[in-house]
Amino acid sequence: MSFVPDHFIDQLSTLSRHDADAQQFGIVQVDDAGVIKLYNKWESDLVSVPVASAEGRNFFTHVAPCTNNRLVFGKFKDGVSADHLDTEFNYTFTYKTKPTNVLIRLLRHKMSRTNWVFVGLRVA
Amino acid sequence: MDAVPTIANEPPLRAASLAARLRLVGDATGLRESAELVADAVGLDYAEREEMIALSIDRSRSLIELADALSDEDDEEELYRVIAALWLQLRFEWQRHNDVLNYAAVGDTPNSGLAAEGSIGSAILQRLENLLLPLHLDALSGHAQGLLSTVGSGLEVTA
Repeated sequence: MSFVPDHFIDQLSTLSRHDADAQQFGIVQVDDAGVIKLYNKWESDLVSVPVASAEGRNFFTHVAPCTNNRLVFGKFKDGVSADHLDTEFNYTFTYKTKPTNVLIRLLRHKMSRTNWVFVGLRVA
Repeated sequence: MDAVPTIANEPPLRAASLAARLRLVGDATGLRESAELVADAVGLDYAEREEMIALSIDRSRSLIELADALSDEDDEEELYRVIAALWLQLRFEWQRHNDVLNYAAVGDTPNSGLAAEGSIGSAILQRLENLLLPLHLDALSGHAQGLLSTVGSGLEVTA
């Protein structure tokens, strides 16, 4: 079972910034190249990257360079290319934070053809 | 949510020269505190913890040596370039730690020692970034990224 509830996924087409900021997990909407369109407060607080300096930049190469590998960016590119992406896996952030074990879910929302990176804290 | 704090305690950077500011970045106490914070966060045992502290002290010594060697006002431009090169070196080193940590941990528990080493390296990166102009940091990141993607793009991987 994912840390992102199904009913939340169903609302992605109409997700507002306010709703995104109200969630207790990281929400990053990116375009097909990985450029951030929406970066929620939880994610901003987790990695201490201000929303204003994240949006408009590439998530995988600039904002979260620890994800710029085949494990994350590779899966994302493959999924966008195949027009099908929904995968969740363990990961550890170490960039400018103390080591933080997280769950990452990459999703391409069929209905709205939008791409999402969700991040949740993983309890050991 | 409990925010995960950044581990690079920001040094005061109002000192007069670049070399003096680099000495503050290399302050052994600050780097040691970062190392201790990280070691405690991931629950390293005594030997591993001491190893991380030794690493932070070694990094501190390198930064102070650099600041001392290029401390003349006339050396400032050269010192800036060396700091930029050091930032690149540490960034690539952190990237290696990040990849080893996460590739090795697929479906398994991450290596705490590697995670700590990566975090400590990135703390120094963050402190060094206080000495570089945002414009130059963006350029360095972009060039490094471009270089690696060019190198990897022509590679044929066989199963």
